[in-house]
Amino acid sequence: MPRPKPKVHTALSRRASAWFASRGWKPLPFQREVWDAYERGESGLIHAPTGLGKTLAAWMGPVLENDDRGGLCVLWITPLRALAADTVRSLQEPLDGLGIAAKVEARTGDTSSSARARQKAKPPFALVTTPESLSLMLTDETRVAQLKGLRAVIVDEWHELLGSKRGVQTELCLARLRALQPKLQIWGLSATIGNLDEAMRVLLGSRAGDGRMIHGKDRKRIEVETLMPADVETFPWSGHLGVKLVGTVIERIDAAQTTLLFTNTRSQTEIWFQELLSARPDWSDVLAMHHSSIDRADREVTEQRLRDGTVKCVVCTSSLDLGVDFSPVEQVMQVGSPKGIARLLQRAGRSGHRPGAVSRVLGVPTNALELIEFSAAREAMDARRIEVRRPVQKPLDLLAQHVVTVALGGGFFEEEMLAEIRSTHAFATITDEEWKWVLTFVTTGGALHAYPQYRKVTRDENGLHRLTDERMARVHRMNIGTIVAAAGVALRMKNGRSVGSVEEWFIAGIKPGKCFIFGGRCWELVRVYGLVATVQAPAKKKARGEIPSWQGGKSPLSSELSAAVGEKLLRFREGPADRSPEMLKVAPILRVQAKWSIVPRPDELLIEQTTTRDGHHVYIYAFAGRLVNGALGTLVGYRLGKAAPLTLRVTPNDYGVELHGSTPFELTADEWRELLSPDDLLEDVLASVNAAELGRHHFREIARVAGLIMSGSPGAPPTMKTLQASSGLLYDVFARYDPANLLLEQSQREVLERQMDFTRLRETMEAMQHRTIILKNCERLTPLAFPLWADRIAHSVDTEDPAATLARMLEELEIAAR
Amino acid sequence: MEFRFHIGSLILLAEGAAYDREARTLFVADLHIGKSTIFREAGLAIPDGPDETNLARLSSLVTGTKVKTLFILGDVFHARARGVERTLADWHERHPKLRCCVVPGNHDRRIPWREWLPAAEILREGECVGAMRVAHFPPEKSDVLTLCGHLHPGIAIGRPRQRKLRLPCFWQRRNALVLPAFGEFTGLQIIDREPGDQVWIPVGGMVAEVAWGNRDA
Repeated sequence: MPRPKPKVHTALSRRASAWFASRGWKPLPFQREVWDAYERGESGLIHAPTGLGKTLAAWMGPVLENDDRGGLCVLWITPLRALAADTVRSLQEPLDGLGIAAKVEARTGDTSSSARARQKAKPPFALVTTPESLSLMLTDETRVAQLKGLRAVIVDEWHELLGSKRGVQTELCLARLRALQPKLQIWGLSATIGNLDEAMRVLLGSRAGDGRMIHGKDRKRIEVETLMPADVETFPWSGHLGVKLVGTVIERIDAAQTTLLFTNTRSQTEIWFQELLSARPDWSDVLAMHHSSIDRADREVTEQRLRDGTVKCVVCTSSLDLGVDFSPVEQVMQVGSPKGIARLLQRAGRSGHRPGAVSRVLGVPTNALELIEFSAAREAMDARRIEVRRPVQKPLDLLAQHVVTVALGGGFFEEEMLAEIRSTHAFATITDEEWKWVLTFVTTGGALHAYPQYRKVTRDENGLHRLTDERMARVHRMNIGTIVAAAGVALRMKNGRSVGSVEEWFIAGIKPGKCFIFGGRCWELVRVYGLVATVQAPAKKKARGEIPSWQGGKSPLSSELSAAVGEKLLRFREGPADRSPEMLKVAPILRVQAKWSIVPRPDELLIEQTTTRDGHHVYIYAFAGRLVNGALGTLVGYRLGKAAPLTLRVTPNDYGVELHGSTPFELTADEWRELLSPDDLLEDVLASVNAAELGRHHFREIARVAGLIMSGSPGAPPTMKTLQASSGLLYDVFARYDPANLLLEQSQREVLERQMDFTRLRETMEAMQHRTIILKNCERLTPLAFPLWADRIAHSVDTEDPAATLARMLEELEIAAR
Repeated sequence: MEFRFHIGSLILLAEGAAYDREARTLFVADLHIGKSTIFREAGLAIPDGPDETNLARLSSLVTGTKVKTLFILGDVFHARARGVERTLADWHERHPKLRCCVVPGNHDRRIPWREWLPAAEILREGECVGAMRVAHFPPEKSDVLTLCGHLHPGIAIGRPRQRKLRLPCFWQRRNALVLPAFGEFTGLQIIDREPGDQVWIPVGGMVAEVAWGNRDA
């Protein structure tokens, strides 16, 4: 059906434009397009880069559509509750400016119970909320009745939610809201991602056919500059904590008003903070740090100082990727690999955060190969080749949770509920069997047995499914909002003041009385009790401490950026000549690679074999990101071990993987092809990694979402104590007595996806079958191999002094390269 | 593995029980019958099965060792759940000649023993049995060897900073010998070993002592 072409703007659009004009602004064409579409009652996705006015595009429609603003009219969903306060402010402003007496309020986990009660009695015009809080609202019949009056839902930063289980939670909530109010208009706001069309389909579910995609014309210029090492010959070939360029970085920070220095991991944040501070002690008052383990109150102080412009530089991780609308940031730096194009784009967008301004990001490479990555990222960015975010499919734990939520918030009939569930993208293909399984899971306790004592959701004589037990209702409400895994060990001072959190295994490795660095300060561990570690300022003034290394901080190089790097290498080998400053700089190193081995093309799979003093090495360069390369190495090790038992060490990075053994490998190209075959992939992967153990470990998250674990809160009644069981124990009981439980399978599937990027592994191995295998026997470690070798040495516990070994080896190689 | 104390002979069985061959007596602790039932009552969909398995394991131990007396050292039931009133009594009826003695544990406080296990003898905490005592809670100090439970002791084996293997264990500190929880679906509490403690774990159908030198992280 052809859509009416909006030549003449609607009344709403004219009113919004008039208001813009009164402020001296001019609406952008995409904003008018959104307002027109809104007045016609449409839903859709607004795509524009950060800082182009997406918020007002989506907001002015509901604000101006008519004068009847009784009850709750708009929900504004934001992925981070920390953003809610900022969002409330920026949404309230136009209302006040227009003289409209309507309120915007926040409803998140931080909202006080008195504010919640007031909102329930007298709902404001709009609520800013998170997926978890929305889900919680759906458990309350009074609230559900109010939500029937909704006119619009706006999902902010939809690209952030998409691809996570919280995205699925949002999908389910939206399906519920659509069922309550069929005329509901849903708009998503998204930054650039590689699958915008899919993003809209996921957002709108079965109504995606009528959805409208509106692109903000991206006139914002983004510049990527890379800080160049003076001399690439002495620049490290490997390492990711390198602070070689710290002097230049300080010069640049000095020259700018404010700087955000992004790093890739929390440990790197701590290291750079220390480096900057020791070089410039006079900056101690204007240097701040921001990462997700630091206590929220401290982070908020830093965010406020950014807004006020009273801080010169914030060293941070992805915790500052999102939101926090501070415009004064003049300069953004990225330390180490950009990892992904969308990520670099988003970080760049933190500077020049105003329509029309230029966004700039300054890349700070920590090793030679990262020069290629910055150059590749710039090209991919210019060509707008951005990463795809794959939506999560059919997480049954979440569905079980949602079904109980709906049973609590007024109840449901089976047929209608199934239709509603199938209207989401995530569950569009749910089979009748799977649905039955979930329904029996929450009604009789399991598909195999009907347990007489089990009463959660009950079905009355009319077929209405409800949950009426007060105690279970309370437990369920407590469990909602725990999709995000629990934090680690809380760090507190003796007076109880919270400092932040670290992972359990890190604190387990530190003895009381020893020091470690956290949040830019040195702390002495006093004691650990349960999940709380008490710390104090160290007695000695000049105490030195260990820097925690957090797991999960290392994200793999994205497929898109890997491909862009591959193209860079292709151009190096076959031309046309690449004149980008980074490639010119790194050329000598690539020439060494070409001389000693080969610079592989994307249609080749390079395998290098080397023998050194410490054993036999094979390097496989699949250019598939750290997780997939690691899984590939483990898989090859497993398949080799099937023929003859052997001990291998597997060390991956984003480019390839090292296999290290004490006997020579001596395999032909054909034998390698066999080893890298995608046949029996799932079976072999499961066998190679002890998937049962991994699944058991991961089960905690699923069990909690599906309502199998009571989140033990302090002060819980003693009856709750008899209901405590660890998720591992639950996993064992299910594996033994209910092995067909679909949650077990989900746990295994999720862990494979998360730990080894299984989908990408499969794609990589299938593509590999069409690549030519180039087998090289190398006399020494090549520039591509060295970083892998060095990583293994650095992480090897048996080497006496890894730093010394590393320095000696690098020296030898550099001499040989001259 | 067989070892001797200064009183008679006690054998630790890999099934998680202690066996006195001369006295033809078996000791177990912490069955936690009805735990999955309690969970389901609270709306947590845990499958049925552990109770049945636990009692079947107990049956085969009792018949295999041909003991005349069984001591259960507390936490026989997980809680007073509906639907498990007859579970243990029915089991006991299948072993009519077995003398069954129970030291109630903290989970058993509200159990009406006369109805739920009519043929059993209910003992006081720390009652003498021959030259030993039986209890649920490990005593602070004791004049003679006391067999007890309550703690669900376990140890974690593995290198520092790596995922560890967690195993139930027998644990002796001075005169208290703590048995592992007999019931499955009961969980472990990792013990803090002190010099002088002795620890045994089940390994391949046997019970082996864990030497002090191999202390895990």
